Amino acid sequence: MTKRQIKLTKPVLDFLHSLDGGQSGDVQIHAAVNETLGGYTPLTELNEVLELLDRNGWILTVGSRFKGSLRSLTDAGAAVRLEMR
Amino acid sequence: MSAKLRGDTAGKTPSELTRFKRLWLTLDEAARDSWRACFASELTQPRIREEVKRKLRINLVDDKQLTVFRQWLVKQDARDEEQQLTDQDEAELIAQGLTGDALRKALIEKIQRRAYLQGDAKTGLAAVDRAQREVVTELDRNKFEFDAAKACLAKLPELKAIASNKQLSEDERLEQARLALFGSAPQ
Repeated sequence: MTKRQIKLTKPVLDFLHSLDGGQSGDVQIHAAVNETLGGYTPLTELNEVLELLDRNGWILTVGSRFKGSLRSLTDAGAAVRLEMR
Repeated sequence: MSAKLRGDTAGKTPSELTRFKRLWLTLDEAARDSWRACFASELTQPRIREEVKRKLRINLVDDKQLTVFRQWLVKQDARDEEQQLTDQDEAELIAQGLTGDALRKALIEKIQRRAYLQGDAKTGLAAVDRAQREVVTELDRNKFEFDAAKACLAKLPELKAIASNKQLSEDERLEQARLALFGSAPQ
């Protein structure tokens, strides 16, 4: 992971952790990342990180009822979040 | 870094409440509606817990766990509803021709405005603050463009002379033009 990806990972995991086991769409995650880091994070960068987190098994991605996908934090993701503190 | 971030959860078993939340997310809408009806029925809390144990094999040992789950459910339902609205917004914005980052920015602005209207002041005010900053930036840019255009017209003969001066390199011409328009750079 690059430094930038690590920087984006933390707010993503923090936001999903705040949902207490719930799911969220990418737009809400993106808004939370922007809020935490200040300024706008390009969509491609965020998508790359979300893909990476999903590949690592740190977040779980499922298709939403209509379109797009919903993400939630896995146990592994929760552990990584704690390691990042 | 990824070697360091292992996400090792060996030996940890999720609580019954966590299992219930995870299971809930995998249920189809019909099953969820059936459970919602059960939660809203006249059944007592212990009776509902029994049902949950019998049908879902989730053993909630006290009523408080069920209460916590139902509070969580209210929040998750609100998020699901927000997701539906976001999907609708996205379809509308795509129809207007927005794509990529422009589409995402517009969507984020919409959810933040909605949050503000729904009383989520923290998220909403951040959106208002950002929108105001963008307006100020836009005004600053407009003013700069206007000033630059005015300066160009006033210094047109000088700029023409600089542009036609073959003794200067490209970099020197740019520097001379900048000096003519805006004066020396701040120290």
